[in-house]
Amino acid sequence: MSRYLHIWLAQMRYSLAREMQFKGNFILWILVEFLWFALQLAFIGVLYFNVKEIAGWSRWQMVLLISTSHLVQQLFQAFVMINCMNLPELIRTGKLDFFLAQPVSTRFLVSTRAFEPGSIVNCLMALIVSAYAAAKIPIPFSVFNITMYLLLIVLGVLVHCSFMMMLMTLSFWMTRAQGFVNAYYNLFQLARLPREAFKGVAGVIFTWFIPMLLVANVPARTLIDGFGWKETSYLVAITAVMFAASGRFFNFGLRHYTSASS
Amino acid sequence: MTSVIQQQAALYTRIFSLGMQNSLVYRWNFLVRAIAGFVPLLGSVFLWKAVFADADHEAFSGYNYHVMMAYFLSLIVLDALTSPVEDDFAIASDIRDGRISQVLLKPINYFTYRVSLFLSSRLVYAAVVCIPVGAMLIFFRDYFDSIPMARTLPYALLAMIGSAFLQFTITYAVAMLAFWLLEIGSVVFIIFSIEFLAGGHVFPLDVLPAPLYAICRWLPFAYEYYFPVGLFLGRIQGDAIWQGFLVQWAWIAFFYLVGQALWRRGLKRYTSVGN
Repeated sequence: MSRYLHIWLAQMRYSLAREMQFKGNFILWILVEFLWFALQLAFIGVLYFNVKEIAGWSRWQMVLLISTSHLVQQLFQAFVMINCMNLPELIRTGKLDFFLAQPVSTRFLVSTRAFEPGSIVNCLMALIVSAYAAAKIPIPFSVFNITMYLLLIVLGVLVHCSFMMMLMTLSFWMTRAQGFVNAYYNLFQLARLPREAFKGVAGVIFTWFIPMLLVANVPARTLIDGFGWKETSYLVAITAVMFAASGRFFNFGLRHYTSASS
Repeated sequence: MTSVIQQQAALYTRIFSLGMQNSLVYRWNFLVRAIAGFVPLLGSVFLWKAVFADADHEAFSGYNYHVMMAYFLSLIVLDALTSPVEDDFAIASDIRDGRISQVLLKPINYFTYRVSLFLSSRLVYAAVVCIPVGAMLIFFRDYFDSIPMARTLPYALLAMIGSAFLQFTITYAVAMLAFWLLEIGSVVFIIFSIEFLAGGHVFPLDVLPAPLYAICRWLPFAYEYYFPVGLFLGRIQGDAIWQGFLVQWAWIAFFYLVGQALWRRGLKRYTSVGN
């Protein structure tokens, strides 16, 4: 375990050093993510010009939901997403050979190799907005609820992690899986919507099978209304199942890896 | 003179056809992209349903649920037909990797060359996605009931052509920054976010308070998305129609000139090694 931590920290140090070579670019990307976040908030602002509640969520509750979703997304982008995006290229060019030859889990190396420090800055912004929204709602201060909120956010990141890894594993069979990356950005858009608004089959699919409507909704609800056993246990269970399944699927895909030009 | 024009037309038709063949390679990618595009639509459907469940019927500046959905569905069609996909990154990589040298050495105008490729890729994209998008329109046809299409469609189609050119000229001008910057991705996404918000991709601009709406109407972004869709829905009427067209084409001319000026300046500092 400590060996993995050691490797992870070394990879992070390397990524940080590489990012810092292009400082201007680093700052611009932070600005990009911030603008998209501001765009979401502006949208909510416009909606609440005209209504007081949407699917039972008041203005500041909705801001909390969006900032929570942004926090989950940025953590995911900081540590995992870039690596998932690189997988098809590693497979296509045969560079995956290098990872296979290392005496550690290939999945671990592939999914933690790069790290985006800029996203951490955006996480902090999301945290500040969350805290501000929580104060505006207002929510009584509870150490337990805040701890649960943060833990549930980690589960949300793991859900994204597992699901995207499963999608990108398909690139062992398809050479170009770039379309899936765009598809994933679209899924993020569902994650920041109130769960209660979704009805029928779509509601069932995106809650229980592809749990996008849980990753931000459950932590935000926990902070607003307090801890709920039912939803939390389900989120824990589905995260565990998805994480294990994505690992299995990755190993299955790996068996179809044929390398290239080496 | 005629033969020169004919030669030029033959040349760019050939580029158009090559571009089409090249785009066809990515047909599956296009399909995945188009289908994935329905996911946010699904989000919009449920979100706006919830919004209108609470608001009065006409709470949104005269929008009801059906018209609002028609707005977002029309945007999907507009995007499929007019939005440049990765043209900015392709132009930037042409510049960065020195591939424009091949164009410079031939009697080809780079702008017209890129327009040909843009149009060909839009045609292939439209052909690939016409089935899913068509199915979507049929499924949601009720939302279009109240729209006076016979009257508004010709204007909307004209504005759509303007929108394609405006989106392209903006993309082209931004991509020219590759002469000065190593990586233009961040700038592209910054402009993209502004286009989305101020262009009416996130919400129709006429739900904004009047002063903000007035500002947006003078910015170029409204003429990429809001203007053609607003015309189609019949929300832009009277003098505002021809004024809109005037502003749209003024912005197209502006970005075309900016793009060309940047191209000329960029070429002065362009170096290509080992090509």
